[in-house]
Amino acid sequence: MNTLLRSLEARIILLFLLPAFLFVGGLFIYPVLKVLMISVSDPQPGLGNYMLLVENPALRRVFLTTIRIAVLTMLISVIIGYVLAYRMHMAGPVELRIIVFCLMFPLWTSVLVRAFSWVVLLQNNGLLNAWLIQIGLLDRPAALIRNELGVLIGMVHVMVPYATLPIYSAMRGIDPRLNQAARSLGATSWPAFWRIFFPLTLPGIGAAMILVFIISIGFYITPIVLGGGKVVMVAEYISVQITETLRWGLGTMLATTLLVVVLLFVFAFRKLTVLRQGGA
Amino acid sequence: MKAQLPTLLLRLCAVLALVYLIAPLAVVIPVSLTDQRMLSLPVDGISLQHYETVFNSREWLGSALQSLLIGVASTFLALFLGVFSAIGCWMLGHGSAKQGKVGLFRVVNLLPLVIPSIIYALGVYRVFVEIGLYDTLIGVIMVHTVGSVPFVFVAISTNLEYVDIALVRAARSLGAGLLRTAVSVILPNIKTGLISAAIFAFLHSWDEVVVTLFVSSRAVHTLPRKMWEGLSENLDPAIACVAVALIVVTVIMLSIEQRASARRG
Repeated sequence: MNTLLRSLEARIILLFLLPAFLFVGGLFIYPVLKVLMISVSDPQPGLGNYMLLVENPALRRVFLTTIRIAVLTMLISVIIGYVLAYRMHMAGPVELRIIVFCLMFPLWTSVLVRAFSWVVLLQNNGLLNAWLIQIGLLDRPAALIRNELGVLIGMVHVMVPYATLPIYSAMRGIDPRLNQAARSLGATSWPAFWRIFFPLTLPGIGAAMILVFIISIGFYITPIVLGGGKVVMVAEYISVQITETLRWGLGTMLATTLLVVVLLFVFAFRKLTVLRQGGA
Repeated sequence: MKAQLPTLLLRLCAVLALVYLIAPLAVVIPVSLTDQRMLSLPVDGISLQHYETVFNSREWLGSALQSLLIGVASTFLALFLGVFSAIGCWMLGHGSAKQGKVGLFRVVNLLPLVIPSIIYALGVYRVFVEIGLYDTLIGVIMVHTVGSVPFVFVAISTNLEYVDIALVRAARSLGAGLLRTAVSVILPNIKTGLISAAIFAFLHSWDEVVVTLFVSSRAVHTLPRKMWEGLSENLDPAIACVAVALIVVTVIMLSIEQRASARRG
């Protein structure tokens, strides 16, 4: 009787889950599957679109640009994120609140607004160039946007909060007595940090790297605005195939490839976070 | 001394990083108040002329109204879907069976957060053209709802970790049905989670631009979409005013959220 009641109850609870499941299934998963289907059926059925990946040098260039920018963004963001996370770890309540605000505020501000702000600051007649010329450091404007530098400045800005938070959460999991123990055994602060503290934050660094990388390779708005057509990452290339040259097969094939790469890294990310939880 | 220097250096680096994070957002405010015709700092004093342009523009106001409407509608929809889903997962997770199924539901609810927008944008564009939702208010509301569900799901699930499952058993043994238990026993206990969820859902919709660009053209003109078009046509200080408006809304929403979740902690 009891088990019957239990299974009945579980069935009713499933009704709670059903609306979101159907909504996301129908309006998200179905459209994404549609992309996969188009990639193997347009212009003709088969894997012809995927052959372009090896054959077409333009595609290779786009992928190389994307990966290069994503990796650089990842490295720079994780370094900045580590410094900030370490400060948060050491900070008193007031400093902590300030840092958290400085991370959360940009995180929740539209990427479009942020890209626009960087244009205001970095363009040829922008504020930074005007200021650098005024103080005599430059005699003519430096090209800070419409190149990879601009894209990196904008993307790292978006990614720093994502890099900081996993590292900070790894640091919070470390027993503070470890540091005291190392000190009392005679280690000075640098070895205590390098040999005790740093290795314990490695899972956090790994999680931050994967997270930043998978978000970076799909970036759309920031590279378009700050790259100014000169730095084409894969998402922009996809949108050109769909809206301008109408090559749905090529566009969806690239989207599918991007999806596969992202899902592989998500899988690695889950492994890593499971490991970390197991260790803590 | 030897221990001091690295600490100071580190602190300096951290300050520089914070300036890097905040400066570009702060700089838009003086630029929006410029008395010049182009994007620059005020020269002979501040002026509200560009705000006047925006507030007198039917198009900008219409866009703001549409963004607000879409934001509110998609927030309510996402709350309905995400809250029940999170409560369901929480209850099932505490039951004996069906762990595997809970995992599946969790993944489905989180997928829209993980998969790059551009991929979804292609698919939903194609599907909406086929079923006639392309460039409709309802279509954009649905797309924004899909993107907001993960935020609601995460905020509610996090809050539920602080709720004792015994509450459910107590309510059930007093004869409350499951729906009644969820609505009148659990919901009052996750108020802060609901506030966070609503704010994150709204902010997601308020800022969403990639998918919106693909599923709308003329009829639907959200604020970010209009700003995007302004960016590619001509950069004038009116855009800075709109950017400030978007930033102000974000700051207000976030401070409400911070205050609400501080009360819980």
